[in-house]
Amino acid sequence: MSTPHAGRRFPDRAALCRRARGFTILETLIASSIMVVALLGIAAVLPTADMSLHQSGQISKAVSLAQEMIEMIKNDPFTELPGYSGVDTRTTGTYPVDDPNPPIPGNPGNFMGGSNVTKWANDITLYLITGTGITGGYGTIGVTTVASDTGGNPVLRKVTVTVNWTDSGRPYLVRLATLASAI
Amino acid sequence: MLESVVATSIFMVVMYGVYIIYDVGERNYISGSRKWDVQSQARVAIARMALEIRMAGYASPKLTDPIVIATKDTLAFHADVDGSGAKFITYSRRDCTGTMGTTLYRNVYDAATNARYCGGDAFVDNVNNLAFVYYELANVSIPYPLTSTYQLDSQAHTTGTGTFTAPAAGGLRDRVRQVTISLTVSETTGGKTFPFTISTDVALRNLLP
Repeated sequence: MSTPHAGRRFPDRAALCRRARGFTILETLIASSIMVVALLGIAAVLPTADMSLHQSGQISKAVSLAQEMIEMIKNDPFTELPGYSGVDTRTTGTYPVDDPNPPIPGNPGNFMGGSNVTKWANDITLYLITGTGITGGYGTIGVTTVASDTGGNPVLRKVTVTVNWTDSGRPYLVRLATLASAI
Repeated sequence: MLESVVATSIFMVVMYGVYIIYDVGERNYISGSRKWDVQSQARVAIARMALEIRMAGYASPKLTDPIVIATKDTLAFHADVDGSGAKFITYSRRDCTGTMGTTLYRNVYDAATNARYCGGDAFVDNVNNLAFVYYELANVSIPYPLTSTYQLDSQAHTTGTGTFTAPAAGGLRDRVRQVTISLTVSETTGGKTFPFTISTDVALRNLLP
């Protein structure tokens, strides 16, 4: 005689052993590997906050440096501003020329364009280029005439100052512009 | 038994990995907090100083003594920076004994209180360097050529209730038209120092032709 549900009530010994033996080493290793990969993914995210902070610091410095050049230009005679057009701190040949050189302290006719750009280039190197992987810090200046009087004499100029640098292979720039009036 | 040892070993390795990630995360958080702290302090300080120094000489009627103390480490100027009347504002790391510390002070001399051109409110802490460079019209440094230390018109920083000599027309202080501000703020945690240096120039708008 046999009962119809004997197999379910009394499973055979082999089936019991299969269920009781748990995970194999191979299964455990695979599971651990997946977990390690997941943890590495989390670990890779951690430095990004630090990197963002570093980049925000660089941008702050670049803004201050661009503002520095704008302020120096504002302290220069309007008629001398075209001397700054095309300045690239990497090429000394683009720098304007001081006149007279050396200047006469107290003389309102001094123009220190060359010294200003040299100071700016040095400050970019001193303040912006700090840390590994940061290269190529330089500045450029553009000057365009926006308006002239009826005699064709410029009365309003636009000055654009740009600070560029490369950080971890990625180029960055900060550009500020201002207007200078002859009046 | 062998299975328990292997399982425990694997568990320990995984837990070590978790610990490493936690440790790196905590270090990054601490260093990030310090960097953010020094950056924000330096940014706020230099922005506020530039904003106020830019207004030197502004008031109605126009002031005749916009710059009253101009040394490498101390700047005192006269301006109406908030529409409440002309005041003397001093930025320096020196307290009223003349001692140079790591606190940047902002002192406002109001006529209703004792006259002081030193000390004041603690503006920023952990300041390792604050330097001012002065320029006349067209960016000629004062003095020219620039020296390692300077006190324009021989007017040094003041202590206690000491005051300044009035700047003479055409004197060095009277010729200042631009100021370069360099500021370094740094904090040290766990033997590691986090410095942040920022610099900018300020053209004194109300004194330019």
